[in-house]
Amino acid sequence: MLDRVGLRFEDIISCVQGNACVEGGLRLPDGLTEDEMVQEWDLLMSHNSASKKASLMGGGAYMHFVPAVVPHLAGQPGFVTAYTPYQPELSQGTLQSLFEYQSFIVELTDMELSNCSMYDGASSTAEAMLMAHRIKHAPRILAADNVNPAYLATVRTYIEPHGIAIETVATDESGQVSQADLERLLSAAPCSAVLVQSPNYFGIIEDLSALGNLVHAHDALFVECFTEAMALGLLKYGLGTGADVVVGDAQSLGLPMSFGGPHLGVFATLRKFNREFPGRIVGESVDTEGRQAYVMTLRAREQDIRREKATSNICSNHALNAITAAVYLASVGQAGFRSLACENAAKLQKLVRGLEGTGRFSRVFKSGAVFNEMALASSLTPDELRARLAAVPVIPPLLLPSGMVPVIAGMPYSYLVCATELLKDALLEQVIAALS
Amino acid sequence: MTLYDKSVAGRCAFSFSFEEDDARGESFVPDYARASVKSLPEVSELDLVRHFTNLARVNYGVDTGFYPLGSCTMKYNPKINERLAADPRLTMRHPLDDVSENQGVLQMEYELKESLEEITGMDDFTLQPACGAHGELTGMLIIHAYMRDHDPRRTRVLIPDSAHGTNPASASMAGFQVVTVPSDERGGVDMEALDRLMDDTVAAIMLTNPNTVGLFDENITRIAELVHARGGLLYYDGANLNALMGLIRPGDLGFDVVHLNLHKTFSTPHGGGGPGAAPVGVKQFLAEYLPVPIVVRRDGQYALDSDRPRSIGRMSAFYGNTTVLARAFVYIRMMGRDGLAAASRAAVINANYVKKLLAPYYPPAYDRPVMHETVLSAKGYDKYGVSLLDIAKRLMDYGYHPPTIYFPHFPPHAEEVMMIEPTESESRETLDAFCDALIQISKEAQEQPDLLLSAPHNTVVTRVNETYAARHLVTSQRDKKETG
Repeated sequence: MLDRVGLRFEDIISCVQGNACVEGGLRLPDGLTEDEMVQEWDLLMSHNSASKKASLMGGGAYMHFVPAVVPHLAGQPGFVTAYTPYQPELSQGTLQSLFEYQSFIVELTDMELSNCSMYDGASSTAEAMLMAHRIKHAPRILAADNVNPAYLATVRTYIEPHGIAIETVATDESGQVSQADLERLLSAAPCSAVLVQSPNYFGIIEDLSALGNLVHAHDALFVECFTEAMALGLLKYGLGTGADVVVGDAQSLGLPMSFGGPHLGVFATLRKFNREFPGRIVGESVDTEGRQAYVMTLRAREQDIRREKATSNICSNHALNAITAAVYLASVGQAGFRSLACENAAKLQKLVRGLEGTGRFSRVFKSGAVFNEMALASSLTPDELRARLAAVPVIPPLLLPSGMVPVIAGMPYSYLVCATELLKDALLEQVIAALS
Repeated sequence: MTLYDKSVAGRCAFSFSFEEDDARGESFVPDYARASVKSLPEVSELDLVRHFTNLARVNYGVDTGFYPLGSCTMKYNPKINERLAADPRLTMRHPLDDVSENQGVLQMEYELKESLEEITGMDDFTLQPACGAHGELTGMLIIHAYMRDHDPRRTRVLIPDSAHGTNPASASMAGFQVVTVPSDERGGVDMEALDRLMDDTVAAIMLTNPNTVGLFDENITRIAELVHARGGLLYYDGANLNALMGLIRPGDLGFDVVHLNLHKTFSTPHGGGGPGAAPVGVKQFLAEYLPVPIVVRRDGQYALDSDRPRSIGRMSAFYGNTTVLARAFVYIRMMGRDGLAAASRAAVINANYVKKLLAPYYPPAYDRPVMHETVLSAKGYDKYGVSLLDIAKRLMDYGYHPPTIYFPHFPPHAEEVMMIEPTESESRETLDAFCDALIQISKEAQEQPDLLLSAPHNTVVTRVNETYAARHLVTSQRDKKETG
């Protein structure tokens, strides 16, 4: 090829001369053929434990049923092998699918505007804090101390270089955000945002409307974080509870847990913030023939145009996962999504009653309403729990660090216990039997 | 038509054996329950399948045709990667389960980390960042934290005018002020300007090498020496690493922090805008700042280490985009030492081949050999009333995705630039046909400019009105209902 154009490879790469080059090739193994690769992969995966039928572990990643059409449709090469839809005439598939995703998220979060995805719930939450700071300018934010600790850590990482202080709001004895403490902190000094997660990390559903009223009385933005997208089918968020931003992770909408990623960050807000929000968004438009067409819009906020003045540096997002979520929601439909949410709530109650019946478990917070996850105290050590569940095909519940929740007498260990629609009654009975 | 247009009350694609009824679930949250969901479309499974299958069909991807989008490295995405990344033994792993249950996935991540260290010449890696810009933010936060501990006066970051927009946006998000460094007439960093700007308030310089015009900066070692001598650090944007594998390593050139786009150089698909993955590598003196947790090996067992007191913290809830990492792992294992070097070599040859064939019609921004991509100008066509945008749209009629257009924004003498990155995946026949199309379009521009001005003609929609979209903001079905 180079002969035809009169070049020599050595001349082309002469530009690297005088700089430290690789001598004798990289120290990597020889390549594998496809069949050899499959063998090596099988060996590697054999070092994982066997896959389970359900998970009693949540804490930010949830095992749900995924209909066969979901990966089939989201895995179409037209979606998978495309780039960001800069050329709308060749990208109507991605663009319309993302528009449908945005439509579903607007409805489920009850907000006015959804971007077409962020990386995950934690980074989306952190970006919401930065947006609030851009809008309100007060160098201080408040966050409930019962927000998922990994989310709080991500928020801290994002805000640290901007000199934004973060203070945490205490949890009261019911397991909810203490309204008295929130009022005290809001009164002490101006703040840009208040972050509340519901259900919170201990599974307790927050009184978002009451908290929203408090927040707005002090001119801060109210950022609601959902823990688990399945809850969007049953619980109120958004405009009805006073949210300025709703964020969260939507892995539960048709995406496997995949050891923590890639998940799907949801970011939904009010129309009045349409110059301030991070990330990409698809809008409806027309082509030169007047036909309906879709295109990325509100682009003037973005990094490729605004450079250091952009609302965020985000470029690639998790578009394919947003399409997956759209396919999932269309697949289960509005009735199915409601029923799934209800099934999750009812399964947790059944599991918790069964666990309490063994005498080895007790609710940490007695009165709070919960969705599909809650903190339980137990007399069983983590090793005992794991050993007893060894023969049951479920992932054991998550051990909470000591000191995170109040101690129940005689039950020194605390677990975050989750149930989803995959915990069929027969399996649930096996779990209870193994722990009895 | 959207799915809402196809919705018929009562239709459902979902088949699931519920064991509880809705009222029971609702009874547990009496104070907080929303009204029933009345806002998702109701379609049968077949309607659903046809809807998304047809949407995917009108989408252009690497599997459809040549996608020479400069700086995006749209190489072929091997199907074995997809198959193994979808393995339930991988996808069913819970990230918080005991590490003893997840030794296979942790080993995969550890070995990927080792490979990336060797390919880049860096000492340690985090696999956590989700995509290029997230990697840049991670790297710049590491530099920010390091300077906070060692030299807090350094609050500025130098970025060449040729850089991707994410570079200044990431530096700014990491708390730095951005200072732009001009390019010289050869397309590299202007050394005099660098010498003037590199003072004791500068924390780092962010560089892409080869840069966005496809040129390897020959002064890179001098730049590194100058920046280091004055107390600054070097950040390497790995967007263009596809030119260099097995040839030269950023770590050996003096870079302190590196991010890699696995969805570019390491063949993982782009998905219409992600998910990607962007591991960040550092030299040993910065390893304590990497985000937690880090996958480590201790006594033959793999573990997640969070005990790093100087860590910048977390960039996301878990450990990164595992199934994307898995695809890159498979790619590197199958390509091996020689395959990776051959890929970079072929990518460079292909770019120079296209450049030479097209140079008589679209003059290159710089008249010297390029690495993996080339920037060509369509400025001459304005005399026929035709812009680069028209040429790009006309390429669609020939069955190609256009190159990146109107980027980079420099230098001033090369307006109307397109950035062509063929990648190593493409055959000579594909490149010949693509060049023939662009040459044919150059003739059309002179003889039938209307053909270009009204292009594209063969796509599912003609040119989409971006101004209309911004003025009549409809970004959801709810907006649509409200605007009637």
